[in-house]
Amino acid sequence: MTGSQGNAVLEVSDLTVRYGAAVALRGIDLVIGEQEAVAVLGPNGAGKTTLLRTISGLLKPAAGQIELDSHSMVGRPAYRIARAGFVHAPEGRSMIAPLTVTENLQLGAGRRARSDVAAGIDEMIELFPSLRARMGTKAGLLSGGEQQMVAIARALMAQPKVLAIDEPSMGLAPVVVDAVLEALRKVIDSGTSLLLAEQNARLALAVADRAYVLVHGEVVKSGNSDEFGDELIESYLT
Amino acid sequence: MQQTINGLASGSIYALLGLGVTLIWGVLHVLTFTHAQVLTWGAFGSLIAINRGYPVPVAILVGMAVAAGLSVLIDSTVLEMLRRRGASEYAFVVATIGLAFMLESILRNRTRARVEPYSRDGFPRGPIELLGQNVPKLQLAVLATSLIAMAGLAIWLNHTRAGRGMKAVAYSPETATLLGINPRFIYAVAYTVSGMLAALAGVFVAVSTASVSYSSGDRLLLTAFAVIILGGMGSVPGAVVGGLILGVIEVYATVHVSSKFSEVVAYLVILVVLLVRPSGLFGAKEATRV
Amino acid sequence: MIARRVVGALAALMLVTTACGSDDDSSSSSADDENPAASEPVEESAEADDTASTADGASADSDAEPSEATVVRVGVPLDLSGPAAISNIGLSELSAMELALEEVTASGMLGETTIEMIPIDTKGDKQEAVAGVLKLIEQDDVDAIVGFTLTPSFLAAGPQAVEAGLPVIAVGVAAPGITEVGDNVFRIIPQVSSLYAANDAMIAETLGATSAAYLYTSDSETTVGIHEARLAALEDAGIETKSVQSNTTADTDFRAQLTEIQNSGADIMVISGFPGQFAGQFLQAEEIGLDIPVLSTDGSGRNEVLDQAGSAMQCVIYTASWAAQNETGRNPHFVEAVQTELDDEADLYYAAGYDGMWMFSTALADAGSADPDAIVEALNNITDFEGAFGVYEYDDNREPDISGINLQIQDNEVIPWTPDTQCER
Repeated sequence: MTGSQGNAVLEVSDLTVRYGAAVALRGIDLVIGEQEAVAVLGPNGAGKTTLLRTISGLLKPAAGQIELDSHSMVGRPAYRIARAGFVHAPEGRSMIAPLTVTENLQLGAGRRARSDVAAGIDEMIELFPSLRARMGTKAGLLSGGEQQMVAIARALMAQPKVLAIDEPSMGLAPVVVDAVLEALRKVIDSGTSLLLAEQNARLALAVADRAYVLVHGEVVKSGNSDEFGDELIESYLT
Repeated sequence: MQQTINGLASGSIYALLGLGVTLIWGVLHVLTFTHAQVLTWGAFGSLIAINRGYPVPVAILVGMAVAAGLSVLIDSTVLEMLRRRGASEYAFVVATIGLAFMLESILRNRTRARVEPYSRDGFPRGPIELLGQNVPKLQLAVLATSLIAMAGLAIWLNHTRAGRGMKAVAYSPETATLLGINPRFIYAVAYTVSGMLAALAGVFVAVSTASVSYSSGDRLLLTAFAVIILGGMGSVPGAVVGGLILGVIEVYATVHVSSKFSEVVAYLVILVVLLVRPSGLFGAKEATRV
Repeated sequence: MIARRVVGALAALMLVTTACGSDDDSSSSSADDENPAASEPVEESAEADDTASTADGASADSDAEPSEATVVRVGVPLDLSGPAAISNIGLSELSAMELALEEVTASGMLGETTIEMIPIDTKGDKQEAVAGVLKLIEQDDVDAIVGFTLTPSFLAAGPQAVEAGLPVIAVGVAAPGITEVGDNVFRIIPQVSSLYAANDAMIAETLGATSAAYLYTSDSETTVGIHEARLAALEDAGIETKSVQSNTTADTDFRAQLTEIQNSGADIMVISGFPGQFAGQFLQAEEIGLDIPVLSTDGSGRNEVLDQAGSAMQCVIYTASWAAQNETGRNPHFVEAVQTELDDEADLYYAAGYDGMWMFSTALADAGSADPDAIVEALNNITDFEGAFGVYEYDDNREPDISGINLQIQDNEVIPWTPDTQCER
C-alpha cells in the first residue's frame, strides 16, 4: 500500500466486482487520505466507472471492504453512502434538466438548513463565477462545461468528505478544463478529499497527489504523481 | 354559465384523479390501475368516520389517510418487489390490474355488494345565487377545494425540498440517489399524495350521489387516464387543465348531444388533440422525455 | 417511442376495463340496479327469438295422463342461486308460493285434490333453465309450470313448456312480449310501461301541468320503453314536451341534464330510471334548486333510496305495480302473512310468487281437473281475481289488467297518492 497521508478517509480493500460471470474489478486496494487528491487512471473499459459506482453503492461488490471514516459502506443503500460523505458526480454530469441551476444546487444540499444552503450557493458561485449569470436557467440548457461545473458544485453542496468525479474533462474545451481544474484545487485546499476517475492522465496528474492505474479491472501501478513519467503514461494509457 | 360551472365542478374531480395518476406516472413510470380502488377505499374510510359521528373535515382527512395508507402499502409491497426484480413496464400494469381486482372483491365481499348511503349532513346543501344564476353550493365547494388542493400541490412541488426531490427522482432516480435522496421514500410520498387526492375525489363523488359502493370508482379510472393523456402524461398543469376541459366538454355534450354520447364526444376531442399534439396539451416533447 | 408505448398500454387498458365493465354489469346489476319500476331484472331479452314463437299448443294432449289424479304436480323453475341479488328474488318467490299453497290447502277449495310443488333451480342460467324445465316435463311429469324469475331464463325454457302444452304462469318476469311465447302462457307482474302511461296523464292533470320535461336512462331497453310510453301518453293528453334529457346507467352526475330541465321552464319532470340512480338525481335536483313536481319510477320509495335522498324527494309521485300500501284485493292479508309467516317485509317478488300460486289454484279449482286445456281455459275466464296486486283478471293477450297504485313520498314515508292528497314541500 503506497503511503497515505495521515488518516485514511476512504479505504477500499480487496474489492472484487462481477457482472454475471465476468469479473469487472479484481482485488482492488485503494486509500484516500484527508485532503488528498487521488486519480484513478486507465483506458476506456478498465473499470474506473465501475469502481466509483461500487464505492457509491450503485453496484454491489462480490467481495472486499469499503470503509468511509472507518465505517463499512458495503451493503448500504446508495443514498445513505452519499449522506455519509462519499458524493459521486457521475460521468455525463447527470443534470436534473427540468430544474434550474439553483434548484439543482439545492438538491445537492440535502438536509442542510435553509440559510446554510443559501450560503453554500454563494460559495459555489464564488468557486465557479461563470455560473452567476446562469443560476435561473434550466440545467438542461447549459453548455457542457457549465453542466460539469454545476455537477461538481451540486456534489460539493453536500459538504462531502470525499468528492468523486467521473471523467470531468470529457468533451470539454481546454479553457473550460482549466477552469474546472482550478476549482478542484481550491476544493482540495478547503479540506475535501478528491477521487478523480480520468482517461486523460496528464490532466489528472496535474491535480492529483497520487494515482492508481487500472487495466482490465486490476491495479497495475500506483504511486505519487511525480513517479508517473511520460513513458509510463504512454505505456499504460495510450 | 351554470352549465360551465357544472362542467368545471365535475372536471375538478377528474383533475384530482388525473393529478394522482400523473404524479405516479411522472415519478415511477407506472400506470396505476389501482387508482379507482384507492378512491373507493378512501370514500369508504370517510364514510365510516361520518357514520361514527366525526365532523366532515375530520372524516375527509380519515378518508385521505386510508387511501394514502393503502397506496403506500401497495407501493412498498408489490411494486417494490417488482422494482427489485427490474420488472418490465407491463409487469407493473398487470400487477396493478390484479391488485385492483383484489381490492374490489375485498370491498364487494365486505359490503355484500350493497350501495351504502353517504350522509350529506355537514356538507353544503342547496343553491346560492351568483350573478343571477342558481349555483349549487356543493359544486362551488368541490371546485374551491379542488383548486386549493391543486394550488397546494403546485407550490409543494415547486418550492419545497420534497417537491424538488420528487422531480429529481422522476427525472433520474440514480442521480437523485447519488445526491442522498432515498427514492423509496419519494415513491411513498408520491403514493401518499396521489392517494390523498384520490380520496378527496372519492368523497366528492360519494357526496354528489349520496352513496358509495364497491364499484363507485370503476368508471373514473378510464376518465383519469383520459385526463392525463389529454393533458400530457406526467404533466401536473396538464392534469388540471385536462380534467377541467374534459368535465366541461362532457357537460356540453350531454346538453347538446346526449348523455349517451357525452363520453364519445369527450374522447373524440382527445383524439383530435392527440392528432395535433401527440404528447398531449402540456406533454414534454418526446426527445427530452426519453 | 414513449408515445407508442403509452398508446399500447392504453389500448390494453381500455380492453381490460371494458371487459371488466361488462362482466360486472351482467352479474351485479341485473337484479338490483337495472331494475326500474321495481319490476324484476329484465335484461337482454332479444336472444331467444328463434325459440320463442313456435307455439302450437293445441295438439299436445293426446298422450296426456288421465286427469283424475288427486295429486297435481306443479313444476316451479326459479333462479334460486347465482348472483346474490337474483337468488334472493328467486327465494322470495319460492317461499311466497309455499305460503300461498298452505293457504290454499287450508281453505279446502281444492277438495280431494292436493298440489305438489316441484322446485328446480335454474341458477340464472339459460342452459340450466332449459335442462331443468325439460326434466320437469319428462321425468317429473308435471301438470303445469308456475315459476321463472328472470326473463332470459323464461325466454330460453318457456318454449319447452309451451310445446308440451302445459299451462304456464310466469311469476317474476316483467319484460314485454312474455305471453306471446304461447297461448298457454300467463303472467303476474304487469308490463310497467302501460302502467305508467295509464296513470301519468291523470297525475299531471291533477297537478295542473301543461308542460313536462323528461329524464330517462337511455342504455336500458326497459327504461327507454317506459320513457317512450310515458312521453306518448302525456303528449296525447296535451302536455307539451319542453325538454328530453337522458343519462346512462353508469352516470353519477346529472347536473347538466337537470340544469337544462330547469331552464326549459317545464311544469313537471318525469323520471324513468333505476333506483340506484334516484338518490343522485333528486339530491342534485335539490342542489341546483330545481323544485318542480316530479313523476318518478317505481323503486323510488325503496328504503335505501329514502335513506340517501328522502328529504330531497319530498312530494315525489310514482306508480307501482305492487305496494304494501295497496288496500285492495288480498294485499292487506298478504302483507301481514309475509310478516307473520315469513318474518319479512312483503315486496314485489313475494307478491308475484304468492299471486302465481293462488292464481293457479283458483284456475285448478275452477277447471275441476288438471287437464292442461281446462286450466288454460279457466285462467282465461277468471274474473275479479283477488290477489296481492289487487283485483284483476286476464285480457285477451293473457296480460293481467293490474292498475297499479299511485304513491307519494312525504316526510321520508311512502303513502298512497290520490288526486286529493296534499303535500307540503
